[in-house]
Amino acid sequence: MALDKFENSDAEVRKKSVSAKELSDHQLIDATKRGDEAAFAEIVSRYRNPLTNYLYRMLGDYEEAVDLAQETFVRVYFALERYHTDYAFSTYIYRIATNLAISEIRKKKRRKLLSLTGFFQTEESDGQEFNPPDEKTLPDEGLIENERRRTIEKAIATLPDKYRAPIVLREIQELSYEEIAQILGLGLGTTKSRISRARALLRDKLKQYLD
Amino acid sequence: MGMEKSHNETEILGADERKLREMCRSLKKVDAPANFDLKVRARLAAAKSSEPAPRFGFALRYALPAFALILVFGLLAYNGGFLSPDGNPTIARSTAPPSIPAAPQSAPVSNFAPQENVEQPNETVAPATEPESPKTNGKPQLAARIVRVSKKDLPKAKNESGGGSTVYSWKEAKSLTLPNVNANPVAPKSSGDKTGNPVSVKELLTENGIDADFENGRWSVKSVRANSAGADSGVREKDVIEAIDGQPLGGETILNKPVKSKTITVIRNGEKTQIDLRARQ
Repeated sequence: MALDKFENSDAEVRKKSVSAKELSDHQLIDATKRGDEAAFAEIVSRYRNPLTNYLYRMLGDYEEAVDLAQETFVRVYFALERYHTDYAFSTYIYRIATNLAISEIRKKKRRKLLSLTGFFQTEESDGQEFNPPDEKTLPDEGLIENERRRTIEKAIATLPDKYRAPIVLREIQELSYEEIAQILGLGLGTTKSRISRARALLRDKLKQYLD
Repeated sequence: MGMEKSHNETEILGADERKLREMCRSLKKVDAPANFDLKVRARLAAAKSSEPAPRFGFALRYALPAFALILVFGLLAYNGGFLSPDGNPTIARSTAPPSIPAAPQSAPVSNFAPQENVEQPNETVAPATEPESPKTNGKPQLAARIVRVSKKDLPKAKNESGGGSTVYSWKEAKSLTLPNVNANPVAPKSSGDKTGNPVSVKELLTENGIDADFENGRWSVKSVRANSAGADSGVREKDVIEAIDGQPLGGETILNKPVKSKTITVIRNGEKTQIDLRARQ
């Protein structure tokens, strides 16, 4: 892989991106391995928004989500040689993003270890900590802010980690059970079970809107 | 109850689940910022610049320092005497050939100061390779066993015995010094004059006008300078000097410098003669 080629001018990238859009993920990866800078730019273009959205729902912080999404692409780039096309690329990139998100969540937990909130957790709320979503408004969200949406966001953000990732992947990212199972490295049954449990928890949190 | 299709799956969802799904999907999709691609490129460039060079990376990081370390320690071990050239560690007492005492230059084992407690002061040289005898006790014995082998004698002894790393045995022996032990390879037991500096046979004879060389295991007089102590005492050319003050002479025998006189044993025409070497004032 020639990184310096990837850093070439945007004009050259735009020229090649026209043809790159017609390629599949695996074809783009093969082209990137051969040093085609436009191919990797197309991969970034395809996955930057879904990844940012997914990480935002996982972390509840837009800046962190963008940062981890960029880090995901960097890791993908340097790990392309090890990537096998036996699996879907979307599964591969979501898995990297999920691992980064889980690591970040654990770091946050360690930072909050001395926080008073930690002393009031019960065993039932294992893994469920006080983790309010980012209060900052999104760049273009000022006009559409409403109480219902915020409540939903908060309900998702306060789910335990092991339920949050599968429900976000299923209900927001709209991935299949098989894809979610591969991303999380779980069995299909376990994945379905966790999604079902996550729905039950969300139902309890949002029952005011369900009645 | 209703049917909801997601991707290629058919999923049965209750009313609440359907509502939940609608609520979740009603959330606004969060997009990446406009400069996302640019920042990814910047990160890639930074990561690339901090990556080690793929080629020769291993050699530069590990192999060369390891090789340098091995080289340095090898040299230190070699020069420090831990290893002999043939790779075997050598110890003086255990590796010198047993024939060393048979060397003609071997001198009596009188390497200690006269006032010391030496058990066998007139003992002839014991084999350096002789195993550590139970009778051997204390440092003086050890020192005597080590220092009695002279450097010049060793090659001959080696030839006679047919092997052994004698040179290194000598080196080990020379480096060992013990309190109250004369470290000279061969030294007179007592010359009666302890104030003089030790001199070699060659030097002593030259001082007295005798030009002699050590050939075939003996000191042969080549010439005698006129008006010297040697000439005055009657030493002649072709005399063979066998001993001084009764001490047999080897190639590297060290003598205490006399103040006034010495008695030398000379063989002339096959006859042994005692000559008093008178120092000229």
